[in-house]
Amino acid sequence: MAGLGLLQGTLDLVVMQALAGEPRHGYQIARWVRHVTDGALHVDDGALYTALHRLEKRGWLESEWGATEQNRRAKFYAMTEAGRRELASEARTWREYAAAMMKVLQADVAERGAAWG
Amino acid sequence: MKGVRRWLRLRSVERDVDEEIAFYFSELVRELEVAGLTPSQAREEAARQFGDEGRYRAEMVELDRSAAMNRMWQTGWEAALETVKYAARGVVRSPGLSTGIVLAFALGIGANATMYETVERLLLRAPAHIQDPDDVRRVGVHRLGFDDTRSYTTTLAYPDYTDLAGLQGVTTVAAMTTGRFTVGSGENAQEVRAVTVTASYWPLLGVQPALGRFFTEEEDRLGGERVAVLSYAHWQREYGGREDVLGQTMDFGQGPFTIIGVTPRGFTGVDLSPVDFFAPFHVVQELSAGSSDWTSHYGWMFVQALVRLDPAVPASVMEAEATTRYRLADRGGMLVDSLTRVAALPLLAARGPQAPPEVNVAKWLLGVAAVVLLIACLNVANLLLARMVRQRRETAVRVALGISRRRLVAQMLAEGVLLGLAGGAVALMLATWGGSLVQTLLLPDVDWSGGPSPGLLLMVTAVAIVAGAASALPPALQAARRDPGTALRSAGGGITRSTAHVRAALAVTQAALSLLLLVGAGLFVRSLDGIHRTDFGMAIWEVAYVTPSFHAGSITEAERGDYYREAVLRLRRVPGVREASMSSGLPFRVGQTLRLRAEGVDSIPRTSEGGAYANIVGSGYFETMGVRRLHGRLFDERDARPGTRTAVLNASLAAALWPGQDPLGRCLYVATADAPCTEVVGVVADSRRGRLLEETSFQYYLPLEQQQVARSPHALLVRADGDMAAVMGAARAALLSLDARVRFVSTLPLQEAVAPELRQWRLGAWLFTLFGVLALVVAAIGLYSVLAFDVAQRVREIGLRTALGASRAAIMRLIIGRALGITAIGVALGAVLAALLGPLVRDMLYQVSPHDPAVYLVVVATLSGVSLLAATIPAWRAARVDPNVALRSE
Repeated sequence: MAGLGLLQGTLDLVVMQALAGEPRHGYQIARWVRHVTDGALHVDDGALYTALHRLEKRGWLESEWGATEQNRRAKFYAMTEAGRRELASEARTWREYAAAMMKVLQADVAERGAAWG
Repeated sequence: MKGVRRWLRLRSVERDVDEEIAFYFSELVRELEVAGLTPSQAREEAARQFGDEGRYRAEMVELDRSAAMNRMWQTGWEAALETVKYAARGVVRSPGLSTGIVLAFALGIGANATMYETVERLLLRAPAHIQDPDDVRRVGVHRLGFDDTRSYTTTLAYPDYTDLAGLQGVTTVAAMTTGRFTVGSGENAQEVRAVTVTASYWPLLGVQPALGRFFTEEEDRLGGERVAVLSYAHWQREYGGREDVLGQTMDFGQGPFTIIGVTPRGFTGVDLSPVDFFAPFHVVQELSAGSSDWTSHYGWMFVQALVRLDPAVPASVMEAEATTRYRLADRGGMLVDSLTRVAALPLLAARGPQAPPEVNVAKWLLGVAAVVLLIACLNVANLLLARMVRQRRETAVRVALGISRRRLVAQMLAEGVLLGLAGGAVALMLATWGGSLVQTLLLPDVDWSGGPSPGLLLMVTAVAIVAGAASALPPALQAARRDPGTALRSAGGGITRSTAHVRAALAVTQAALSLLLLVGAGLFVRSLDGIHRTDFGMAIWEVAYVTPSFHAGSITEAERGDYYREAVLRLRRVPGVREASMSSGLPFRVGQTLRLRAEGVDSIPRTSEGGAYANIVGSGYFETMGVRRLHGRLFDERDARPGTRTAVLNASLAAALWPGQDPLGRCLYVATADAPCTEVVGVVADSRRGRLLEETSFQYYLPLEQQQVARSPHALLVRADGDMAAVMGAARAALLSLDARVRFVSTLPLQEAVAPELRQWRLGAWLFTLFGVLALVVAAIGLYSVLAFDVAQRVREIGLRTALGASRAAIMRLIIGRALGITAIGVALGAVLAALLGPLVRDMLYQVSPHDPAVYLVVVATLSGVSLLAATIPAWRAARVDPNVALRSE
């Protein structure tokens, strides 16, 4: 299956969601994204990294060099307070949007019969 | 330094990004290899999953870089904000101290702003509204004078001006004269300052009218149009700035002139003095000369010439050509030799080769103002040090809690700068006031209507910042040096020795600088006083010239004599007039020389002042002028007998003509080659003729009524008792009511005539004294604060001494002794400094040695007295320390 392209601006949401729990380094995030979407989202890991840096510049993430479980040096990213607020608000917007879209798509079938039948 | 560090930090951004990407690849490649790919397949797959590595890397670096920049700005800004906040809190927390500091700064900076404004106007700023003023030059001639010395003159003959046109490197030439005229009549008459200029003057300067237009070559020619251009100031003052002034006429004694334009605000031509109006050169000169002979005579010197130079051609080209032409012209035996040369002089006289003396004084005063500021800074440093010592525990706590020393120093410097800026704001107000004082009182001939100089605000801000930071530096460094541990442990009495030493040294320096300024003040005051005490051989401070002007054509030359005789009689009856007379030839104003021979003398010698000068005087002249009789007699009724020819000589002329012999009864031959004998009947003391501070000048006197030469008087003379202004008012009124033919009466007290000559001493005496007293007050406050603080710090010690039996007197001696110690060192240092600098001002003094012992004595006594005064309160307080209270505290 060819991966879905990503809607612009949604990459940020994906990355932030990846960091909603504990701090992770870039490779972990990339793996997480592939895992939760079963590879359905087609996105360069490079773009993912760029998003990390962009979000850090905005003050929604902060980074720190640390050690992995295998004791290798890696750069870890964590959400800031501002980032959590942003994620909450973005997620809500998405959920409402998605819910509205679902309603539209379901209503389509039922109402077509009622009004035009 | 900073740039390098920033660059290093940005380098590390790239390293970070590379490391991050490398980690990604190594993790992914290993995972793919575990999954069974060959190393090269794994690397290929990893590169595919990451995407365009070059692009993403560049984007990441760019993002990190700008993020790092943002952070840097933000932390810098936050730190600065916090520093200022803390500094402001410091200022507000001790309002008394802050007020004192702001005041000290205000006085110091205010003095500088005032002098800056003055010096800037005299020396730096080109006259307003002139385009490319550096290319506009005055034409000067360096030539031999009467006294065999060479000097520059800017007065040329009219043909000299026309010779300038067409010289290489000269784009435009203009001629001008300045003069005083009277407009209006009767009590409403007023003297105005006019400049007559050729039509080329306006394009030469590149000035544009504020209203109407300037005159053209068609109007400015012999037999041209009577038109005038008003100055902005005159237009505002006399016409209320109304636009319908155009087309109106004004009369300054040469018939009605039509007003055609107004110059822009602040325009005073090429000089700094105020101007009332501008009129066409050729028209006015022809009217006042009654002919146009001056256009061809190289001997009639009354023109000032301006040139605009082509910036591409050096001035020396024009100077060389003009010099050749100048030497070739026939000047009827005037002093022109092979060293005479023409020079293109700068517009500002102060920048030229012959700067007026007050410019020199003004430059010195700028230095003096800087010293006042230095004293203020020392004082502020002292006060801040005292406070720092008082707050040492709080500082120690902050240091212990981890504030960096650099931060601490920055905060104290910021506090100094804040105080300095507050002082600067007050200083601007002081400068407005002080500036107008200096301007009207001491430099009245300069037009100040252009407003404050644009650089003033910048200068005050810069000085305020530097002074504030400099004053806060010593206490800041002291604070940074302190070891928090020691400070925290130390008890109330433990003031560090270095701080006490620094504070004493500051007080000593203040005393020394104050002495320096006060000595300067003393020298100038003595000079001015010396001038007023000098015997000038005449009653300069009591005499005034009174000049009636008549309506055109209302009086004949013959009637003038009768009028003057009657006017003298009338003036003698005016209350406050001690004596009145008249004269042809007026010291400081009109000098005349006649052909003169003397019995048994081959040639009449000359002094550096020229001469011998003839004064043709009415009865009572010597009494009016206050010129003393030495031998023989003065003029009286005997001289009125028909056919009598008599003369009075001044002592120098008598001694020069007939050295060692009695001049009485000898003959002079006056005015014509075949003149009969004029008998010398008396000798009077030398008196001044051309300048207040001239060398001896030769003068002789002839009775007006004998008309040995046909002359009518130039003016009436009045010697006044009491208030000069009131007597002059009464004299004007009396003459106006006496005769309807009189259009107006102008008066000139001699002290006004000589005022420009006295200006440098007056300027020096006033401002040196003002600044000296300022310095003294500031230094006294400084000393007081040192002592008061000492007493507060040493309460325990003093209490202990008292408890051990020291008397109150002994305690007071202790404190006063310290005050006098500081003062003594300061005075000694200051005296050495003054003695070293003194010779530099020698040229500006009048008959006072720069090491005048009386001045030093008075100044030292004053300083000692003031420091005693400053010590009294702290000493008194120390003597009242209660040992019980003092020893119990802490």
